[in-house]
Amino acid sequence: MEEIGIGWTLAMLAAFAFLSYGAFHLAKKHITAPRMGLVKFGMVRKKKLKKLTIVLSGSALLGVILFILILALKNTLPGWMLPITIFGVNCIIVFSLGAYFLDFPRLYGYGILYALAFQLSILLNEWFELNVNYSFPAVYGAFAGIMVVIGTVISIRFLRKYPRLSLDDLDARE
Amino acid sequence: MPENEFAGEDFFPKLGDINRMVHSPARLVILTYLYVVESGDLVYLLRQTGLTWGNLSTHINKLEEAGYIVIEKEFRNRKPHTLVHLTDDGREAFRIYKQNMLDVLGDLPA
Repeated sequence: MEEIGIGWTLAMLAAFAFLSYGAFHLAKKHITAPRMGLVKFGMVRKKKLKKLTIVLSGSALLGVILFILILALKNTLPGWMLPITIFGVNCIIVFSLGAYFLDFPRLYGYGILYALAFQLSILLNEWFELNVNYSFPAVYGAFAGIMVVIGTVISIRFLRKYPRLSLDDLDARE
Repeated sequence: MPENEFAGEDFFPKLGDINRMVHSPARLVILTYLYVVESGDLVYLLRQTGLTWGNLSTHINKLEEAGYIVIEKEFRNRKPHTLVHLTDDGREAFRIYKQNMLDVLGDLPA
């Protein structure tokens, strides 16, 4: 199987991040806002979110650098074990910060899954000599599947609990 | 001075200072949510307060008449959208109310 280069890998990650960001905004506009309403936060909350954004961006950048390092060193085991370990710890830190500041406990679990995926992929590679080109997608796919199932269940519950409110009805109050 | 410190002139004037426009449970919950944000729309208030639409509308009108909130109409994606936010008077009234309640309740024995 022919490998794709670091450049293509990063381009795919960037495209995925861009698509995820777009999907998030579309969901907010068409699903969340009509059901839960819109709010502009006060200055205290805005400052808190700004600090969080800076911290998370820094941690995410560290994650990307480590990811590149891991890809560059991946044929020199055990040389890449250190960046992988740091990457895992960094994942848990980033997700935990997000979970704490956003009051979103599910992210703690997702952080652990995300961090473990890398380690597990390596173990599969070492124990069963499964090529990393297969072990990484298999493990990440399985863990992503768990997250998608959880997210789908929660979304269905949310949609049932909070039906869409007609803004036209509300604004016709006068 | 009366033996019971919770009777007589020392204590009850504090209760008299409580702003009844703010003290009503429905209006208090509306003001509380608006106090911690810059502004929110009607759907947000409806969901957060748990009030019925009629009840929310009535109390919002009273708060607007009292000058505690401002209702702004705007168009988002060509649809009417109503935003509500506290005025400076409303924010100050809520702050004073909060302090008065803390004073009154703080004086009570455990």
